[in-house]
Amino acid sequence: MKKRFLLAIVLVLVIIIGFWFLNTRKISDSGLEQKTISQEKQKELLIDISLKFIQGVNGQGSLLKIRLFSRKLLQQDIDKKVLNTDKGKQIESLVVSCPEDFWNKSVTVMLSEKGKKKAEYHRPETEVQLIRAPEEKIWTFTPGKIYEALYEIPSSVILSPGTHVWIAATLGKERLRSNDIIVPSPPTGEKERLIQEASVFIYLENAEEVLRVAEKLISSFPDDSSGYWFKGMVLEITGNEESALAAYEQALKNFPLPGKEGNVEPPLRLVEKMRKLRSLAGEYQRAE
Amino acid sequence: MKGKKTIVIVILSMVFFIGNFFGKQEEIPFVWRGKIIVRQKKLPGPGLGASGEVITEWQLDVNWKETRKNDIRDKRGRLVGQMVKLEDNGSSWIGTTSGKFVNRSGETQYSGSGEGPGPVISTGYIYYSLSDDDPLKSVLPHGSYSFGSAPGQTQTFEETVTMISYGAPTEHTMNLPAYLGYYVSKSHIFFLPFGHIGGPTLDGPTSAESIKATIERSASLIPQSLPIQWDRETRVLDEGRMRGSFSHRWLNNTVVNEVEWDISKVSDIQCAMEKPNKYWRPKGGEEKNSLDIMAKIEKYDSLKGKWRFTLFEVSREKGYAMNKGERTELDLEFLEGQNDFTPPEKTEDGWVIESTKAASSMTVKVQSLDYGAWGKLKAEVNVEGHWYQCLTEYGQDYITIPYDDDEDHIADMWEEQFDVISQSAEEDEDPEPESKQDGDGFSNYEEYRGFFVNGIWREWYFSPKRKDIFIYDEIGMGVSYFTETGLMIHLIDKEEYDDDRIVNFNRGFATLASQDGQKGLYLCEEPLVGLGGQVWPCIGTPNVVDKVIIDTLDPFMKAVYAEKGAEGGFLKNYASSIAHELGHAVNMVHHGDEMWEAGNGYEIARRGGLWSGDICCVMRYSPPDRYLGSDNNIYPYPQEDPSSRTGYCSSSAGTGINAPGERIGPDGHPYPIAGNAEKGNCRYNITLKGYNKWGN
Repeated sequence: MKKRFLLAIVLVLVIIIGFWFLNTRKISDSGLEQKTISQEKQKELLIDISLKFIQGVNGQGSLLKIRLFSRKLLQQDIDKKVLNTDKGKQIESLVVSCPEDFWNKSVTVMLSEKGKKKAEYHRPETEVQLIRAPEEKIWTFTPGKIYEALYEIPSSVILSPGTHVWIAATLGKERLRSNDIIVPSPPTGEKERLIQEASVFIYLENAEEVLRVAEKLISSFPDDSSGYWFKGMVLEITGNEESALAAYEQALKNFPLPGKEGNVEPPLRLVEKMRKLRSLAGEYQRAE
Repeated sequence: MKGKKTIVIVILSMVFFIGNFFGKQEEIPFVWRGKIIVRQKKLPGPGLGASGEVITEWQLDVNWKETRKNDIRDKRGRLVGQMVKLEDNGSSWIGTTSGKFVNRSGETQYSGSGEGPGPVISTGYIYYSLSDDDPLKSVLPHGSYSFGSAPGQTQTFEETVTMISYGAPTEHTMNLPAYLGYYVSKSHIFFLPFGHIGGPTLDGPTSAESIKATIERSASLIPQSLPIQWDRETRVLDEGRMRGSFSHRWLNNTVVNEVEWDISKVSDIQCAMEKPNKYWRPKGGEEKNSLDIMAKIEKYDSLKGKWRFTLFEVSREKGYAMNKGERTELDLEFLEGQNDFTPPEKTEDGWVIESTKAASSMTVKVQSLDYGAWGKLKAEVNVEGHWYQCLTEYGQDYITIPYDDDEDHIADMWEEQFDVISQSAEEDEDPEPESKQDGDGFSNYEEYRGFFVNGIWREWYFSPKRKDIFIYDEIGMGVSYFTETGLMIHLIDKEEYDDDRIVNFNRGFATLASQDGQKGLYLCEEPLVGLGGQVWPCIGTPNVVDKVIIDTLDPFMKAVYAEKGAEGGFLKNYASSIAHELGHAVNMVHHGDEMWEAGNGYEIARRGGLWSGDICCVMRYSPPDRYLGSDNNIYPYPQEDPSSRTGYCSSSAGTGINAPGERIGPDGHPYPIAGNAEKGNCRYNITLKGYNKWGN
């Protein structure tokens, strides 16, 4: 009897205390202490992909240069240097296993023609041809490390000006997307067209074709430096140093003098090459 | 059986207790608040040849409360009215005396003042009649009131009287007390229902007939001239307010007494709103965050009301960071689905939300959708049909979100952290690194709101003290020695600037009026003829330079890369070129005019030319073949130090082989090689904002 009475009292007290607690709890929760809803969200994607488009002219296919690198590691490196933080702390490199046949099977070239909603996609091995790619099976990304591959889109794939081109790639669970390239109108001037043609052959490491285009540039534009520049490069890498030096000297002679407007950068790459070739030929000794 | 009954009784009594405890609501507390001005003007007596006047004025800030209520009954015992006592509840006052009397022999000056909190009545009452045939109807109509202060019973201040005699120049000063003394309504003269401060404290009569007789008797005794500010009218509430004035003169018009008053009955409900957490800042996008704001009824804990919170003057900046998002909606809102609240309703510049229950306090959650969101919030509580505005501890009827006392839309904690609290939101000072132009093209507000860099928004990342520059590096080789500028460099994704390369493309509030957005740099690769790099179309600020081009195409350089066997060799060959071109893209120029070098096929260095100045500076070039000595002979260019071209110079002075001082070098040739730079001091030339070109 007495027990029941005590039990009833306890129950009532529990109800009162519970009610009171809930009420006061509500008020204390409404204080000023705040927590942000989420902590700083880290970007999961650590690897970036960038696309360089080299437009083919005169019946050439266009080239796509794809680079894999880590912008995040580059930024970490900058922050460390500029903000002077984490002194002595090494930026950890990012090691990734290259998926099987990544460059052929995980990369897709996306094309979106102006006015069309749906993007076309082209895979290597079919319409798009892989020219060269790194052979490493383990990628070790550091600030500044780039893995690059070259693809060719055959001239049979029409790339009208205004078409968007980008690369989609799958890396583990991540989907990488490159920058968009908008296909430009082909160069209209003969000189620009020939320079563009030479550039494509340089990427393809086709020395013969570079030389052919260079000669054409020289015959059509003898006062311009570009033909001699390309000719010099081909002669240099094919071991014909003396002729290469002569071509470079002519290129330098034709190089426009710096003016107040336009570009002011001197052709020092050209000068460096000349110096190297002269050094090989022992000209320095003569100069001294 | 008996046990069950006991339990039921216990539970019932507890329920009753709980109901009483939680359900009890205090009566709404009312107070009387308003102003009273008591003025006495003294003029010189006629025939004394004197002039001037002396005015003593009291300004009373009234706060009274109704304390006791005495029932008034007629001789039959019927309740005919209630006499309500007024007591001070926190009034304050200011008193001043000034003026002088002047006659031929001298003058008397009066001055003095005082102020403070304290009672300003020694007696006061209101009579509320409750019966149509109230015997007091003719002498004390419904709503009759009276209040006043007997001199010396409430406030005084010290008055200084200075007498100056012109004949024999003497000055005599004495201090006298100035007393607050005034009475409103004649009925008080012989009738004090609740006694008087300092006088009898016993209640007066409570019989209606007795009160009537007292008042009628006293009416015939009221003197025509009264020594103090003494009213001669019966005063009755006017639309619920005590308001009126009287003025009378005495002592042959040499004293003018004036009293004005306007006092209203208002609720004493005070509602307080807490300011937001000072260390909270708004965020947006996937990181959107919220803030709790509490408002409560003060002093009367059990008083409950319906609550209304209004967000107004809410920002509507585009996107949710300077370079992220496209939304144009309001940047603050009430969190949806809050317990005990109706769904929020949109207004022209914000939102309104109301509580669905009566409570003595309420907390509302405000959600931010933008890293730079701002707005104002007010809270009101409705108790028995009247809305009461909540105030902050400083008396403001709104709070700013975030905490922003200077209301420049930047959270104060951010400005304090960077010590820019005194600057406006539009300011763009960024003094570091020091250069000829302060600022980076982004205002303080824009840096506070922040930018996404490589997909991440980071707190405290953008400092209004340090110049920021954004680079879209399409190549992926980084910026090499460009970090040596000390600029805060941000490598962004392509979508983190717009098609015109503008980084603050969501700009709106507090953007720089001097330019149409600040651009980032585009670092890319293109085939160049004879060059390692180039800026296009010319040297200038990021707003001028369309692209920074590096040529990595050259098969010769590729051969070097292969030779070195690691990316390090490849990158080092380009490091100086990248830093050099990026230098041009922040308006740095070469160390000298290159016309002379061009004439010599860039093979011979000369004093003050391209190779001059601090050898560490990347704005110089890789060494030429030869140099022109001070004796006008040509000499082979010597080996440069490994530190050559790894940073930026801070003066035009030559260092190492270029250090000034004519001498013969270790190789027996004349030194310095290229000497001091004609231009140089590249760090000083860094210019980020505006449209400057060619180092200007």
